[in-house]
This record gives sequence, C-alpha cells and structure tokens, in this order.
Amino acid sequence: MTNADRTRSDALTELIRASTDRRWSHRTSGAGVVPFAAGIEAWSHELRDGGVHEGDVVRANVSRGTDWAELVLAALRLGAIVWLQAPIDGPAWELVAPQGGPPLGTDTALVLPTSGSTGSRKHVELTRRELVDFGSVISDRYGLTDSDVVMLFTEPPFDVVVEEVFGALAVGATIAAPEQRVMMPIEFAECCGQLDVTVANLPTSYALQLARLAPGPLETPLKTLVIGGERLSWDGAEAVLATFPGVKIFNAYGLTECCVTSTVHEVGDPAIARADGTRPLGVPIGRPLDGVRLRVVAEREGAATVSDMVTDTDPDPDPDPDLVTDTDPDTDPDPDTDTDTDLVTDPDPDTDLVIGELVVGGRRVADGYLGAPRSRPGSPFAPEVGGTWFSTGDRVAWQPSTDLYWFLGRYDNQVKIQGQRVELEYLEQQCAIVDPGWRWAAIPVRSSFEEVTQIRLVSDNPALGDSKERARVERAIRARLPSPRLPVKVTYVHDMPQLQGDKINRRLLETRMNEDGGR
Amino acid sequence: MGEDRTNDELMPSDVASKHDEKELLRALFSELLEIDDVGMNDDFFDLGGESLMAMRLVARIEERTGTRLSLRDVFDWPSPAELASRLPANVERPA
Repeated sequence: MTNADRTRSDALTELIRASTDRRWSHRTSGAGVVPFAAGIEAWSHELRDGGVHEGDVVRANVSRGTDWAELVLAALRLGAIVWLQAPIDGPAWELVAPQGGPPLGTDTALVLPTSGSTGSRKHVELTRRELVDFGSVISDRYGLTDSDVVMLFTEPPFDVVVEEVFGALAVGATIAAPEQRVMMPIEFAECCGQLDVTVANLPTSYALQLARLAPGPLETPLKTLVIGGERLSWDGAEAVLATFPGVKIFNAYGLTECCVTSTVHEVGDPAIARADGTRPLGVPIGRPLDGVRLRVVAEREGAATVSDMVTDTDPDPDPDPDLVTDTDPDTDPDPDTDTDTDLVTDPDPDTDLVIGELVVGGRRVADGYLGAPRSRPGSPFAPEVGGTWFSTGDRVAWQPSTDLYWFLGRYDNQVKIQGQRVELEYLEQQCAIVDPGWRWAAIPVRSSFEEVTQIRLVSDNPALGDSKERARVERAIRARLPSPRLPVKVTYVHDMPQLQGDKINRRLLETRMNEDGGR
Repeated sequence: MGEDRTNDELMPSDVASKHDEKELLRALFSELLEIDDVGMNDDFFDLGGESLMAMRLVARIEERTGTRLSLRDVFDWPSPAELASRLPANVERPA
C-alpha cells in the first residue's frame, strides 16, 4: 500500500489491513461482490488530499451502506477520529477543527450520539481499543466466521452499525448492504437470498412486524438473527422463530454509553426456555459479554445487591432513593403500580429474582458524555477504582441461580419505540406549547407482542373533537418532535380520567387506549 | 379536503377502476392513520405514517387487491392518487 507510512499503527489498523488483505468484501445487489480494499483506498486518498491527519476529527455524513463503512475505516486507518451524525445534505465528510470542540481522548476512534429524544444530544467516545475488543467479543458470541455475510441494516449514527461493521471486520466476514432498508417480509427474504445474507441485526419492532405480516415461514440463507432494542415477549419470540425457522435467534441488550451491546441471550426453544416462573418476564437479555460487569441496585431491602460475578466491593451500598423508587405519591395511590415500570406481571415468587436498576461496568464503558465531567452531580457515570460504572435507568430482573437478566422497563417515563428512546414528559411539554391551557398525557400503546407501537397524545380540549382541528394540532406537534416520523397520534377524550387533585390517571388512560387502539 | 385531480393519461375505460382504487387507498390511509379526511394528494408520511405503518399499508393493499407492492412504492409514491398509479390496472395500460 502506498500510504503505509501514513497510517496509524495499532491493533485497529492491523485488523483493517488484515481483513482487506483477506479480500474482505461487500455485496450490493447491483454490483455483486466488491473487495473493500479499493473503496477504502479511494476514501483514504480523498481524505489525505483533503488534509486529514492523525488525530483530526472528520464528520461522516454518508447516509448508510458500504460507502459508510469504507469511509469510516479509511479515516480510522489514517488515525483520524470519526464523528457520526444523522446524515444531512452536503459533502460526504468534512474536517472539523480540532480546537472547535471539547477535547477528545488520544485513543478515540468514534464519537457517537446517544439515543435520546430531548433537546440537545449527548455524545460518547468509543476508543480504537474498544472497537477491536468489542468486534472480537461480539463476533465470538454470535459465532461469526469469515464465510458469513452480515447485512448492513442499521442506519448511522445508530450504534448497532458499530456491531455490524466491527463484528464482521473482526473475523473478515463479508458485509452486504441492501438497497432499501425497511422491506416487506417477502422483499426481505428475497434480499437475503440475493445477497446471501447469513447474519442480520434488526430492531425488535421491525423483526416483530416482519413476523406479523409474513405469509408464512420465510425461506432465507439466514443462520443468525440478532434482535434488540426493546423488550421481547415470548409470544413475539415464537412468532419470529416461526417466521425464520432454523435460524439462531439472539436477543441483545446494550447502550451506546457502554459500547453498544452488554448482554446477549440465545432464544432457543421457547417451550423449554419458558417452562418456569420467569415466563411473564419475557425473553431474557441473557448474560454479560466478556469484559462487561453488571450490578443490580435492588429495589427492596434498602441495600444494593451486588450481582457482579467478579468479587466487587461497592463503596456506596446505599442506592440513590431517586433511582430505585420512581413513585410520585401525588399521582399514584399505589406505589407498586407507578409509571411504566410494572407493565410486567409480577413473576413467580419462587424464582429467586432480584429486581432493580441495572448498572453496567467493565472495560468498555465510556468515561462520560463528551464535554460533561462525569463527576458532575446527577451524572449517570460513576468513576471507581477499576473503571467507570454507568447507571442505565433500566429496570431489570436478575436470577442469581442462572445469572440471567431480563429487561423490564424504565425507571423514568422513557419508552422505546422503533429503537428510539422517547421521554413522555417531553412529548407532553411540546403538546402544551402547541395547545396551551389544556391537559395532555402521552400514553404508549402496545401491540399483542407488547412492544410500543404508537404514542397517543391525549387531551380533553373539546376543540379536538373536530377531526380537522385534531389534524392541525397533530401537525403542529409533530413539527416540534425530534423525529417527525415518530408514530404519535393526537387523541381526544371527553372524560379525562382523574385522580385526586386534578391529576391525570395515566394508568387508567393507558388501559383504555390499549383497549381502543392497541390492535 | 384534498382535491381529486384527474389524470390526463387515463384511458376512458380505466376511469371507473382507477377511481375505485384511489378511493380504496384513501380509505386505507384513513383507516391506518385514523384521519377522517385524507386528501387524494396527501403524503402518507406527512400525515404521521412511518415505516412500520407503511408495512401494514402494503399488507392491506395486498389483502384487498391481491397486488403486492414494494415498501419502496409507498416511499416513492406516498399519496393515495400516486400509489393508485402503481396498481397493475394502471401500470399495465397501453402507452
């Protein structure tokens, strides 16, 4: 390679070189199999001609597909840092003045926005070492080999793209980019067939929609299907298994702050897997990946239950009371039925479960949000001897006898919908801005597979009884949302269910909305 | 109310079925999006549709008409009038 002297020399560069030397390739339906090396080389030239040097920050603006992977790998090979953003119109990449932003670490490879719906986005850094480490751990967990073809489904900057690309890179698997991202079940199967896709990583909501709409079992070359992003019920898992017979299905859980994926569970045979008291919890999210440590800050008994399998001395065994009980005594007469955290039926008491907030540690947790000191009060990052721990705000169950974890929901009023995290209060605030003077409640509606499919924005403003006015208000609200494509629906009710003190009875409203609109 | 624009290219014999198809699509938009007055030229995605709902739309179109559209058709032809033009009676008409 002519530019060997201009590449950074470390494990990541070596891995990129080794994979390209192995004729690492990608597939598109138009162009067939294309070796990656040429594309990476072309981007490298363009980046160097554009003045990119080691340590520079490059904003990647390529929307998706193999171009994205080539650009990112070319920049990383030069030792540059890639800043991922939602694609905008403009050049494929641009150099960002290094002094223009918060200082980045010397080993930083990627800067990723974290998933969130409110105001300003937070970013975390992923290091070069983490990319190599994570790629190796995740490809090992899924059993990827160099004969696999991994579908590049995820749209950057959504973090699962890191799993797709660096998991494939670790073993030299081929990457295949479909022309179209979301497809109907038959189209999806045909696309997998055309590109010989053996591994796909899909958001839970999309996998369930494929299962719901598929005319029957889909014939594909798929061997491995990873789904994640939302809670997976057993009914949902069975539907996915029936749609993709013989395919190994993994349920994955993770956060951008902890390098994409922290736990993985192979779904297996539902008839065996659920034949115990944990069925109401749904499919487990599994056990921690290599390099991941987990704690559960238990809700009951007052003290932290340290579920970390490695001997761990927690310097602060008192859980933060704000985190462990998210009950608002004003709005909720029964502290056991607060917010969204108890959508799961209580499990069998014989199942020795510890329920509480999941805290993630280990060698791949970020040091903090970019530009925000992690020691700041209220930061979810807690630096400790031996590494940083991240409080996820996710409510989980842990079964010590099996070391399995289940994702149960959130402690705040955040819901996940189509892979996006959405704060219900934030939606309500936006509604109140558009339609001041009236009460609004953002209510999640769930499908028969229990995933959130829509958010109802409910008000008792009589003007909304008129469908044109309702459409007008809905448009105005949608214009204020972080994503205009969020499935929200303005709904008028003439009798807003109430608790004492004029507070809205969200639980009753949620029950009603799910009866009305959950189909 | 959306205006039902007539399509100049229509063959006279197609008018009735074409009209029915547009009306069917308008009804399906209305049903899925829960909006009473969908216009013939309203964009599915501007009305609050998103990709998973577009999948349901394509599935229902197949149920009612027997025609299997691609999801891409909804992205490329997002109004009832435009999408009706993708249904075979119209696609296959002589040039």
